[in-house]
Amino acid sequence: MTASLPGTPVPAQSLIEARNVVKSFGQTPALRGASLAMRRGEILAVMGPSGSGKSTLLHCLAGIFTPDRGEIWFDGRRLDALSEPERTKLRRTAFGFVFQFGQLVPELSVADNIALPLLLDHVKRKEAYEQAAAWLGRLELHGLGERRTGELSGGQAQRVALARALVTHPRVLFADEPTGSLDSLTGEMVMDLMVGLAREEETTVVLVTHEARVAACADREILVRDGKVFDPRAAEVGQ
Amino acid sequence: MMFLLGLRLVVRTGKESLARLVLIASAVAIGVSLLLVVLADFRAFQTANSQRCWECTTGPYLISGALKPAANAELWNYSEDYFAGQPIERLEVAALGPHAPVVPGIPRLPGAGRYFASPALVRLLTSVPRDELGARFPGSLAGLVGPAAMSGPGDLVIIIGRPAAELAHLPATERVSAIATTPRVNGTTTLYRYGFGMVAVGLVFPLLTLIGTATRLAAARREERFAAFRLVGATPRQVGVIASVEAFMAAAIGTLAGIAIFQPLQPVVARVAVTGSRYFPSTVAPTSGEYIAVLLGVPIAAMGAAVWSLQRVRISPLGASRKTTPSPPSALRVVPLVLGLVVFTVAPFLLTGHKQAGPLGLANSGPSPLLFPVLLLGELLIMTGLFLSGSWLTMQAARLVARTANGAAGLVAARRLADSPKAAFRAVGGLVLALFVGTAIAGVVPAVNSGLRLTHGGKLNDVLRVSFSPPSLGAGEGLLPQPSAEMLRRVRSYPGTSALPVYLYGPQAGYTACEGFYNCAPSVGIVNCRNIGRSFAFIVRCPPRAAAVQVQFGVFFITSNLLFTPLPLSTSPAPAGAGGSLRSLRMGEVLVMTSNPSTLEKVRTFMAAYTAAAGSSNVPETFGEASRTRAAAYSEIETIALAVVAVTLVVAACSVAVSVGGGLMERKRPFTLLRVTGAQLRVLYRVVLWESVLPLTLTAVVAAAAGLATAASIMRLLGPRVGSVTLPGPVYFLTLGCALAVSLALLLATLPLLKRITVPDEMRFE
Repeated sequence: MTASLPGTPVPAQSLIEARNVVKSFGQTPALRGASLAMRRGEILAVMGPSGSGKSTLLHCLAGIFTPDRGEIWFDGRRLDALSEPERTKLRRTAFGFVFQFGQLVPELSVADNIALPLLLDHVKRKEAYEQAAAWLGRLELHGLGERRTGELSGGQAQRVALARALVTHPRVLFADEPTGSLDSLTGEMVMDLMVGLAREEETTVVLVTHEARVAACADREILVRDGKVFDPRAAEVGQ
Repeated sequence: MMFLLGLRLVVRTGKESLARLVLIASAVAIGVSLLLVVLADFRAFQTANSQRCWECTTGPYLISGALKPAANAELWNYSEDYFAGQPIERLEVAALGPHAPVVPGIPRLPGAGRYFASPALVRLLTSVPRDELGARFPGSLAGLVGPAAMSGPGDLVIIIGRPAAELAHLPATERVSAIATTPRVNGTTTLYRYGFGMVAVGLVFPLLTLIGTATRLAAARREERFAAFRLVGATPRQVGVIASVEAFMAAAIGTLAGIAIFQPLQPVVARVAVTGSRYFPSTVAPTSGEYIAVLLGVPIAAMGAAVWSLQRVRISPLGASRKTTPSPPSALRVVPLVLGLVVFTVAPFLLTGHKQAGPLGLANSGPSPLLFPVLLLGELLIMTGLFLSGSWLTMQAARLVARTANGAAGLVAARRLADSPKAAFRAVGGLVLALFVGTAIAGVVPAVNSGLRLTHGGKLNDVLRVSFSPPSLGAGEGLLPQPSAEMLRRVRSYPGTSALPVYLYGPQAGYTACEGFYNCAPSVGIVNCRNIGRSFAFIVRCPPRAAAVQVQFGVFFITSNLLFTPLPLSTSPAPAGAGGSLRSLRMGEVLVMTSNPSTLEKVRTFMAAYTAAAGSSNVPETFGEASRTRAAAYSEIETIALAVVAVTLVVAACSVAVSVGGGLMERKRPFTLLRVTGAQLRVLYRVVLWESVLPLTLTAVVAAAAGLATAASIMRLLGPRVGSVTLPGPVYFLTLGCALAVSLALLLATLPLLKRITVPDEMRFE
C-alpha cells in the first residue's frame, strides 16, 4: 500500500501536504506522483536510496522547486501556486533549513550566521544578536560567537546551522542529511539537539536521511523509491 | 597534448567554463580597447611632433637692397599672428629662382599676390569682416595648405606670396635655400612625451590588475578541478599548462574583441582634443607593431598571471589549499601617508621667506632651495602611502561597517572585505594614484587660471600691447616719430579706444639682457603723463605736476604671467632733456585699450604694417590673450589628468566587477542557500554593490582628499595672488560623475550573473 493520497482533502490537522507531485530534470524523472501529508509538530523521516527523489521531494515541499504537476499545500495555502517573492517570504518567515554542508556563509562569524535570517527579516541589529547569543547557549556553542565558520568542527558547524534554522522560530524545519558529514557520535548529538528543540518549539520537521538510526528519532518514516512515496510499515505489514 | 586538453577544457566543459571565458574575455576586451585609445592618441601626438618643422627654417638676414637672383633660394619672412586668441602661422615668401624650395603641404610657392591657407583659416576668412582679419593678408587664395604643414585640422596657417623686392625690404626677412627637416619640438613636447609615458604606465598597471583579476576568476572552483587532475596523475607542470592555456585563450579572444571595439571608437577619439588641438583622424591609430605587441603581450601577461596565481596554491590530489594565509594589513602601512601629508603641509610654512641675494644684487625673499626637494619627497611619500595604506583603510572601513550595519547585505559584504582587504584594494589600487594626481591638478589649475585671468582685477585683459622694439634688434630701435604720430592719431580715432605710447630715450632705452626670466634689468621708457588719463592709471601714475615720467617696465611687455608683477609700475622723474620733446622720440611700445572685440581685431590688423615697418617681429596681443595661452597649457595638463582619472576609474571598476563576478561564482553555494532560506534577490544585489562600491568609493575619497590637501599646500606657496584653493571645477566633478556612472553600470552588469547562478531550482543541497 502506498502513502499516495491523490485528491484526498487536507486533513484538518495537516500542516503540509504533497498531492501527486511530478518533477523531472530534463528527461530524468525525479518524482512520479509523490503524495504525503504531515500534521503540525510531526517529525517525519524521509528515507530511500540515492537518487530515489527524496531531496527533490523536500525541495518541492519547501517551495524551492516548483513541481511540474501536482500540488503542494502549506497551512491551507497552495504553495506551488505562489509567486517566487511570496515563496521567498514564506521560506524566510515560516521555514528553516539544515543541510549536509556548505550552508554557512564563510566570511561571517558564528554569531553573524545565526543572526543573518533575523537581519534579513529586518529585525534590529541589537535584538538579532541578542537572540543569536541565546541560541548559542541553547546549542552549547558558548564562546564561539566570534569564530569564523572555517574554525569550527563539523559538529559545531551543524549546530550553528541548526541555530540559524531555528532562530526565526520556523513552523517547518527541513533537514537534508543533517548528519551526513558527521561521525556517529557527533551525529547523534546533533540529532538529539534537533529533535529536542523541535519538540520544545513545536516545529514540524521533514528529515531526509538514509541512516536508519537517524530516522529512528522521527515520529514517522516514509520511503521514497523511484519517485514515489511508500509507507514502510504498511509495506512490512503487506509482506 | 596538455595544450589540447586545456583548449578542450576551455570550450567544452559546460556553461560555467563558458561563462568564465566570456567574463575574462570581456574584461580583457575593455582593458585592451582603453589601452589602444591611449596608444592611438600618443601615436597622433608623436606624428604631429615628428613632422618636419618647416616653421623652424632659418637663413641669413637679408641686408636691405642686396637682392641677388638664385635658382634654388627664396626670401622667407615667418611670424605669428593672433585672431581672437587663436595663433595664426604666417609665412611670406618670394621665390628667387625656378628651383626655390617648396614648403610641405603646398604644391608650389605662391606667386606674388596669391596665398595658400589652411582650411580652418579659409573658413575664418570667409566668416569675419575683412578689416578684422582678411586685410592682414594681401592677395587672393591660390589653394589650401595640406596636412603635411599642420599638426591638426584646426591649425591656422597662411603662406603668402610677395614680390621679392617688396619682401626684401621687410624687417626680419631671411634668405633660405632649404626648408628645415628637423622635427617640431616646442616647450611642451617633452612634457607631453613624459606625460603620455606616465599615462601609459599608469594605465598598464590597472589594466594588468584587471587582466590578472580576470584570470583569477573562480579560482577556487577551478583549483578543485585541477586537484581532480592531480588525482588521476597529472603533474603540477601539466596542471600549470592547462591553467595557462585557459588564461591565454580567454585573453586572446578578449584582445581580439578589444581591437574590434577600438575600430569604431577611433574616429570618436580623433575628434577629442586631449592635448588642446585636434589631430588628423588618419594619425590617431596605433602602429601595426603596437597592435602586434598588444595582441601577443596581453595573452602572455594573462598566462603569466595564471601561472603566478597557481604558485600561491598547493594543488594536491586531495584538493587545493593556500600555501600561506594572507595576514591582515598592519597599521604601519599608513605611516608614509601621514608623514607625506605632514611634510607637504608644514614645509611651505617652514621653508619660505628665505632671504637671498638676487643676481642683480637685489635682496629677494623667496623659498629655500630645500623646499622643492622636500615637497617632492612629501609627494612621493603620499603616493607610496596611499598605495600601501589602501588595504588597511579598506579593512578598517569594512570592520566599521560590519560593526554597525543593520542589514544583512552590509554585514556580509563588510565581513568579506575585512577578510580579504588586499584583494579588494588590489582591484582599485591603480585608481588611487591617478585620482590623487588628477585631483591635485584639478585643484590647482582652475585657481591659477582664474588668478591669471583676474590678475590686477582683470583690467589688463583687454589691453593690447604692441612692441616696436624687439630685443633681438637691439636697444634704440622703435617706430620713427612721424609714423608714430600718424599711428596714434588713427588708433585713437577708433571709437572707445585709448592709447598709451612709451617712448625711448637715452642709453637705457629699450630692453636689456635678463639673467633668468624674472631678473631682467629694468627696461626703461618715457611716458607722457597727459596720455595716462583714467584708462591707464592702474599701470602708471605720475607725481603731481610732472609732465612725464620714466617707467621701469621690466618684463611687462614680454611675459604672459603678470601674477608677480606689481602695478602700478615703478616710476622715476623723466630725464631733464626728455620732458618737453616726447613727440620727437622714437616709440618703443604702445598700449591700446578697447573693450570691443571687433575694434580690437581692427586695431591689430591696422598695427601689422607699423610693427613690420619698425622691424618688430612681436605679435600685437592683449594681456588676456597672453595669459589665456598660458592658461590653455595648464588646462591641457588638467584635461589629460582628468582623462587619465576617468579611464583609470573605469578600468578599476572593471577590475572590481570582474573580482566581484569571480567572487560570486566561488560563493554560488552560500549565496544560493541565502536565497533558499528566504533572502530576497535585492539583498544579494546589495551585497554585491556594497562589496564593489565600498572599496571604490573609499579609495576615491581618500585619494581625492589627499590630492586636495596637496593642492592647498601648492596654493599656499603661490601666495595670495591666485586666491585660496577651492574645490575643483565642474569639469572635474562631471568627469568623476560620468566615470562613476560608467563604473556603476559595469558593476550592475554583474547582477544578472548573480540572479542566474543562485536560482534555487538548479541547486541541490545534500
